Amino acid sequence: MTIYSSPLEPSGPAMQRQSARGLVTLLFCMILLTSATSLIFTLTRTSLAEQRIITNEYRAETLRQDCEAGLDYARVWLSRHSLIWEINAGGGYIHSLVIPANLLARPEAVELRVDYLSQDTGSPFIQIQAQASWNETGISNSLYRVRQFVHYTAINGSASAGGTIARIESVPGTWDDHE
Amino acid sequence: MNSTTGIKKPRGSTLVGALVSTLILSIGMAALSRLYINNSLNSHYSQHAATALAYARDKIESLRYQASNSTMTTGSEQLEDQDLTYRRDWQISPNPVSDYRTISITVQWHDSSGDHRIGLKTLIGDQTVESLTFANQ
Repeated sequence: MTIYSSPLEPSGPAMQRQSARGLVTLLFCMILLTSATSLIFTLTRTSLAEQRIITNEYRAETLRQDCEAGLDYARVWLSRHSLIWEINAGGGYIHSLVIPANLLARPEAVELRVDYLSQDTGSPFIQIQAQASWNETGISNSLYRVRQFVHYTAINGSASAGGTIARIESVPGTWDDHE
Repeated sequence: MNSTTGIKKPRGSTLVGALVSTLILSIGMAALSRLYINNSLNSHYSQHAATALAYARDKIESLRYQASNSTMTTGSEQLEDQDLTYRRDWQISPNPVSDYRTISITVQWHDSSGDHRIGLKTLIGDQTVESLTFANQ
């Protein structure tokens, strides 16, 4: 069988050079595309980091507002109720408040505790601690904790077991925030 | 004498090679441009959301110390920042349980990707109640 080649089509070394030129063009395009892809991926990573930052900031702010709400709730609660000390030997834990469901948008997220400032039962301060957490599937959990010291006036045996608080006053500048 | 007399030797890429390269490049660049646009929109959203969150935080903090004895219940204002207008609305509503008020802040804005809003909500105790002295029950 005889194979005839067209006189217009180069053959031999000329054909090889032409193929090589096409390959160079393709290679140039691929390099260009790869460079652009890596650049866009870098931008994507930056964009994702920005979104993660603002999402975390929003969650932290939401939790902080929940904690502030918890503190306000505790302050008002303490000024309306006589708190009976229940000193335990473990850590001075005395009371736990549960915020009513109709007070907050997400009451289930707020855990509110009222603790002693220290083991010193003669101290005129108690510590209110509000703790809020945000648990969501697929992302890491968030926890925010705010503490405030309040001054109280105790009667009926002062701050000993069975004593009660008659009056509380917020002490400014005693915030201790933990995130 | 050259055997290919009268026929010029082809130079440069073949048409098919150039077309294939252009096709690959076009498809790739189309996909990348889509990604780039999304990135740009998301980046703008993040920036605007951060600004909106700052506005909401500022307002809720100022209301926390003003609203307990205030009769003002709602409010709205426009805020300009970098050629973008944010609308900040707030509402102070008495809670069903007395001695508390609920503060709701909403910040809205419109950008190239549409309408957006973020909101914050908190609770404040009535300062007048808090400062009272209660006798031991």
